[in-house]
Amino acid sequence: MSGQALKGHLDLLILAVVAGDPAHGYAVIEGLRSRSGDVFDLPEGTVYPALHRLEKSGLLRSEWSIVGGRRRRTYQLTKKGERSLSAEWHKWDNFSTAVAKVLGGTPWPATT
Amino acid sequence: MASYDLIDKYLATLRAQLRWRGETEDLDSELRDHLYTAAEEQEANGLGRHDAQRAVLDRFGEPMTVSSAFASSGTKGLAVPTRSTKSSGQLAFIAALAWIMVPFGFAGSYAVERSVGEWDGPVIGLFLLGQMSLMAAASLTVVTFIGLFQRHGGLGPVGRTGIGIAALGAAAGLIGWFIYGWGTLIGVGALLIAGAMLRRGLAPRVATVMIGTAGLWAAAVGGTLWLFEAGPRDQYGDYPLVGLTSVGVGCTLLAVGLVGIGRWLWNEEPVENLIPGSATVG
Repeated sequence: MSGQALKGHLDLLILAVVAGDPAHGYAVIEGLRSRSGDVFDLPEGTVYPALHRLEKSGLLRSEWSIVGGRRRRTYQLTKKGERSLSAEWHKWDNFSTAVAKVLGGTPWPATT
Repeated sequence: MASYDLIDKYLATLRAQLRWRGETEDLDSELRDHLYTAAEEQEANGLGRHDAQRAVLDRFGEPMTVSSAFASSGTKGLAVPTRSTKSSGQLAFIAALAWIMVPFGFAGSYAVERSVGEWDGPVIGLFLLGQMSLMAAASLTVVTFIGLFQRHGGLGPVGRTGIGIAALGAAAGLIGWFIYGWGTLIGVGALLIAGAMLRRGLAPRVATVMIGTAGLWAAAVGGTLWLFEAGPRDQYGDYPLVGLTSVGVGCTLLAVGLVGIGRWLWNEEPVENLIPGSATVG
């Protein structure tokens, strides 16, 4: 999937990955990749600005710990983030269901 | 703990490109943890150290891609240093010098007038020095504020309002003796811009606070001296020493703050220099 197409939904996807368990940046990116079946493949470094922006907006909070001698920042969803995820999830669900219904009545286009 | 030379070099490049952002220690730690963890996994999967690092860095993205993502995150424009913002740094130094000249001109004019007893030759010359310095300082400060607006990728409606009010103050500076007029407008404009800048957290805080509070300190000092009726009254019933001291405090704080802001803007590497063949940044 193109980076540009993914960017529009990145915040929702990050919130969804972090909703399970608190996760550090690397785990968030691995979660995005594995849960999408390797479809979501952004330059990994570009996910961090989104994580920081979500923290600044109060949707995520982060904590530092020491793991294997290195400082590690772990993110988790805030109450505000939970509410936002739930609202955006419903919007996406309605939208994707509507799109599927429209496409469902259309014959698969010929490509040759 | 393993050491990864390619990753360390990559992080050094990224750190240099993200100097403008602040919090470089935390960011460095966070990205280092990611890259080292990924490299360790690649090595555990059988890749050699060099190939493991190459694979990890390829997936992470070019430094310019990552720094651009940080620069444009949460802003309407790119919050990056450019040749234009660097030039604003130079203007800030000249503006600071002009602000220092303002109280010298006005205070010199007052002192000479008191000594010779009439509004003539050198008295008028010194007053004009203060007046011209005020006009130059206020105009250059507004231009510096516009540079700061660009440097932050926009400062929102508060920042725009601040620039507008400061520009009105610069125009009101045409009436140099109307201190309460131009002083209030420039002070309020600077306060709004500094507030918007602090919210973004990019610019040096001390310099920003000095610029933002210059008008408040000037008003506080002037108000206190006025309460104590400091100095002689003039023929209009005013206390010139109170006004001059107040102007001196405000101008000095603005000057010192602008030097701090100017050093910051001037010392940053414009992104045009980091992108080969690029002349402008949109």
